[in-house]
Amino acid sequence: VTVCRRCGAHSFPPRLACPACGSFELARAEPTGGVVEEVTTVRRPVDGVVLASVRLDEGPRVVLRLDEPLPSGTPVRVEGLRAYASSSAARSSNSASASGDGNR
Amino acid sequence: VAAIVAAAETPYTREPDATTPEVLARAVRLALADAGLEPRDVDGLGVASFTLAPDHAVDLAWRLGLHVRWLQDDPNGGASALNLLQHARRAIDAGDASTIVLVAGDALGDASVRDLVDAYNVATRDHLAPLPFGGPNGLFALLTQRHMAAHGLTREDYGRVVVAQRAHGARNPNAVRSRPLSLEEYLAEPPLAEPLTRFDCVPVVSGADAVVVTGSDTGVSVRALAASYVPDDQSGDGLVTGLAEAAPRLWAEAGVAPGDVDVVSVYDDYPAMVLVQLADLGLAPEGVRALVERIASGAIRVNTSGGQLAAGQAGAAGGMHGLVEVSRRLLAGEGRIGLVSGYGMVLYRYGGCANAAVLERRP
Repeated sequence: VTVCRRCGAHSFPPRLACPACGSFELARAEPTGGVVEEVTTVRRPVDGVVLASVRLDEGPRVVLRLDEPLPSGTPVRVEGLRAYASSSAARSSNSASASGDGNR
Repeated sequence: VAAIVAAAETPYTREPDATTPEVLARAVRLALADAGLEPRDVDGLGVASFTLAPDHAVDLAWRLGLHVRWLQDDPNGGASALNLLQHARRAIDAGDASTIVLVAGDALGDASVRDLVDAYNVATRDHLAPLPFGGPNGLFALLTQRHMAAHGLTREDYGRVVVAQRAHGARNPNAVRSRPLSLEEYLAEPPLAEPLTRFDCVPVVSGADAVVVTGSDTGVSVRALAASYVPDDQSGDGLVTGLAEAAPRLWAEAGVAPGDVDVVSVYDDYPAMVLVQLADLGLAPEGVRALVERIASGAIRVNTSGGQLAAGQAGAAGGMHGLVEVSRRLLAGEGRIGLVSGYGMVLYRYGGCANAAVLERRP
């Protein structure tokens, strides 16, 4: 996520300027966790991909992949573009980074 | 005053039977024939297409033998047609051009659409395609779940919207889903991404739409056109589009009320978005459930071509399909006031572009 150096607002996907206050001074931050809002399993053209809308603790709503459907309201830990129920064992970090190309 | 004097659509086909420039040329030819004009009469061209590259609008003008003094190339998908119309009506009224053709379309098949959706923009390429997400159906499945929860809707409610459009589509010889659909069939269909089934998703087709805009006392005039792009930062629920913000400006400029509208086409990429846009435009004063009733009973005529859910989505033509349908109905004398919306460009979780026009048949 991008975090505004002036007002502290978090954004995802990364922005060029802060949508909250207009500042161009942004830094990167790694999201840690959030809460599942909605879940669906996509069956075509990909098969069995579980997508969730997750409200990050920092504020932004993001689309992440789950291993299996989780009920709405489940707290999750975020690793890259994946989310895991907070209680489940830690997994190796995903190759894709949620902060993407960031701002330079 | 700028007016739409002709509107045309090529046959929609499940797989491309020609290149994108050829498909666009078919729509231009049909629209000019409808207007009784020749290419030499045209001095403005606006085009919307995802697959025209490496050609541009000027290549299309050149290859069509058009000598123009007004040229636009609009990549804004489901909002492109009304975006082009927003500029074209002002160009006509200001004298920058006298006769403008607006054309939108793509020669698309299932494979080319998958490439298109995975590289739709940087956010999609970097943060959705690697999931993989399988295109916008999963995103709108999540949105539809939010819509159901917000308004107490069930799959049956969306089914009644789809069934109503499929009944219209059965009267449209251009629709690729030409068969009416029963509510039982709708409810029995297995999910593509819960709660959506294929009946909630547009068939990918190849084809093009076009309109001719010129200064005229007859035809279909634009009483009002209002747009709103990126009304929020994509951290909302997507259940309100820019149309909610644009609607007061739209109706004030139009000088008519939502209840005066005779024929409506809203951008129907998914049935939830049909209901969202109609509500944003002020056509659901008694709530969304009452709106479903009015659509199902035929009390309000929405997407009378069958919409994209029946006719198909020919890439960027999806944005012009509704404009062509409403223009044709009004030109044929079926009502006086028409309403068209555009919606699209899924930036990350839902569309970031919305616009709408109120049209009037004159005299």
